[in-house]
Amino acid sequence: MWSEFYRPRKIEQMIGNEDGRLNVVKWLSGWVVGSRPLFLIGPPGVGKTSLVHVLARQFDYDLVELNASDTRNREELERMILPMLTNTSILGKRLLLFLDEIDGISGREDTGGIESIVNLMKEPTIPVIMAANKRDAKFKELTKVSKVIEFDPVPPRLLMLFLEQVIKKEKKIKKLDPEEKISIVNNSHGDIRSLLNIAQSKYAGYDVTTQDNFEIDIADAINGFFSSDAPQKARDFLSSADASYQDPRFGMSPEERRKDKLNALYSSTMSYSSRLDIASLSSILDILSKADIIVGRVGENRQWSLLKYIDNIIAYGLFPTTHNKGIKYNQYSMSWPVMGPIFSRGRSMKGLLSEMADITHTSKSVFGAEYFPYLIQIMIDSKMDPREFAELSNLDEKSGEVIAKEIDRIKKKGTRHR
Amino acid sequence: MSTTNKILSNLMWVEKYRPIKLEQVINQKEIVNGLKNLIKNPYEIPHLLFAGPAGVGKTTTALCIARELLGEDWQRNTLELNASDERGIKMVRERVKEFASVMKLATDTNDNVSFRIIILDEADEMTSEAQTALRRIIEDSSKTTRFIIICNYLSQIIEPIQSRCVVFRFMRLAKEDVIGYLKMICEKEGVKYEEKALSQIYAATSGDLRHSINILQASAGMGSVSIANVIASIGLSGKTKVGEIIRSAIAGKFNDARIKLLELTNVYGMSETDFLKYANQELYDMKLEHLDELAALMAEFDYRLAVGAHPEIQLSALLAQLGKLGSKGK
Repeated sequence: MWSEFYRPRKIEQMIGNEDGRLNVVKWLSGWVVGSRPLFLIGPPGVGKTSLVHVLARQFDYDLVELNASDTRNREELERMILPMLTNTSILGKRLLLFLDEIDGISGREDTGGIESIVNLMKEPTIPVIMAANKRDAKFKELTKVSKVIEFDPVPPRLLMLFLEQVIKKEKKIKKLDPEEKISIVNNSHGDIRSLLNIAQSKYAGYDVTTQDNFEIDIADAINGFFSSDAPQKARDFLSSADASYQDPRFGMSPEERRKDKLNALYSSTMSYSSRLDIASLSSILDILSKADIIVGRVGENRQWSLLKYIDNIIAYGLFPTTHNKGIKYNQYSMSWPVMGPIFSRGRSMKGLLSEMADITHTSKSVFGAEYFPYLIQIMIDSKMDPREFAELSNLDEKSGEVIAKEIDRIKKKGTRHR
Repeated sequence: MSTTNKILSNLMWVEKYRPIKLEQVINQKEIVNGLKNLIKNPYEIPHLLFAGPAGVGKTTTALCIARELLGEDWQRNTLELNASDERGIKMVRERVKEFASVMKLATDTNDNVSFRIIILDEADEMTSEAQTALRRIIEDSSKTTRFIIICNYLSQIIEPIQSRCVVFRFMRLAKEDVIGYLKMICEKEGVKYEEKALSQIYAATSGDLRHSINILQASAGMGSVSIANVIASIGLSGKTKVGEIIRSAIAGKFNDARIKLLELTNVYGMSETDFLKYANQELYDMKLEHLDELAALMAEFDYRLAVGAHPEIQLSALLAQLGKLGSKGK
């Protein structure tokens, strides 16, 4: 396996992230009891784990490593880490603790894992390095108590140099032409491990790069999906999208939302819904609904293996109803003139709902359904000024305005006397 | 906080006539007596779990207990959380754990209670992961904190939590009790009422006292509590709006239904589970032909919503299925 064979033995052999590496070396050489632990954050295959291994060797530390293969709930972590922190002199050797794949600590199986690391890391008596692939809300506290160093993807220029070196060392008879090399570099997306794997498989006669490794923008993928003349082609478009199946229950940025395949399929078909009959609509939505159950299971139980079925379920399920209909990609499930005002009212109501839910000892949902419409009506009947109400009730100053607007809406509609 | 309560209770009868003391809570006599006996000895009071339908006084009873145990300072030493607003493990870890880890300040020398109270409302909305996290916190913080956990369905609370609490099952309020309470309010407020209109209120709310009082006051605002005014006032509630959405969906007006639904969830904060709850009640009241199929459909989407990741997709899919069923009848 090239990716193991070419693991660096010395810091000088490593490529990319020069500043990051320098800072790590500085941190370790300046380490004293009480120094903050180090937290390396960066995408896979840029050399975080390798750096720690090389450092331990060069600085003569005994490396103790815990990664995602270990159970890391609170009890386990404390059982393993506490003795290292308290009995260093008895062990007689300098220890370096490495907690790799922090983002792999499971919320479900490793209950209390992150919290206990935060506690253990407050006064470390030995140098501790942690690593994760990306920042995550679940270890926000941990980043606060650590020195964070971010690692970036390795730039293509460096990858190309590295690839040339490897090819030279391998002394292969077979030569790769420049396009092939570029393709290997581009497909590794700044990940050295991936570069080595692709190169090795290429020499073995299997071209990974021509598989589904090229990715296209979600909009093009969705347009291709709906204009395909066969379900296989539709599926290929879906698989090649620069997007994935996401679980919005754990929070989502606008960009993640845009790259959520299920959401893109939903908003695109829904923006077209006035031109579909109810039988087609219910069939399309039923398939998206079933696909969503699988997405939900993946999010809940981390059964990643289920993800591979979804493209097929959707492509073969939707094809009979959606092909040749002229459905186009749309980011919004409704026309903006309809959706925009609803969203803007929603934003302004948010604060009021949670303030009032607190006061009435209920949830926002129940307040909105069973109190608010009556409160509005009662204010109209008793001619209470909403701004005065808000002020006397110590509500946010915007809240009076929000209530006033709702009162105007109700007065205009006059829904009460049907 | 207290000024807010005053303004609101001047305005809304539902707050004005909310019981302050345990003995004012209606129709739950056995529960009230049991609780009174328990709080006679505040040191030995266990964690409590209240289960029962909406608007029968679970939260109010919990607040009465907090008031009676903690005295004037009760609000400072009580944390009220509603799991319908925050259902995940984060809420348990951040808010519950933090509050539970702080000892009660001995501000008052007359203080006979050394703990604080956490009222966790709609706990059956919590994920099982969050409930599991809660279970440890209940144990670890029993020196500093008493929990009052409130839910609609006991079966949705994990066993280990049930076993750590004394369970009280709140019953649906009887018709004569609700009507009696409404009459008392009418008399105090000097409002004219028709007997039949009060029955109408009870029928519409299935004994949910909170909703009943709101309907009563809205009707009174129109002049008197008459059947016509009661029907118009029932129409104000979010439940009625859900009914309109369901009707639109069954009539095949999929897009209308979807827009109204977005307004309900996005502007008025209705949770997806509440939407299904109201939809189910409304469907039942509509007395439609395919009620068996409709019920099966609702059950199916209740499940899909619970396990799925995109609630908006699930509810839209439900609306489309309703439309399909509706078109079959034609």
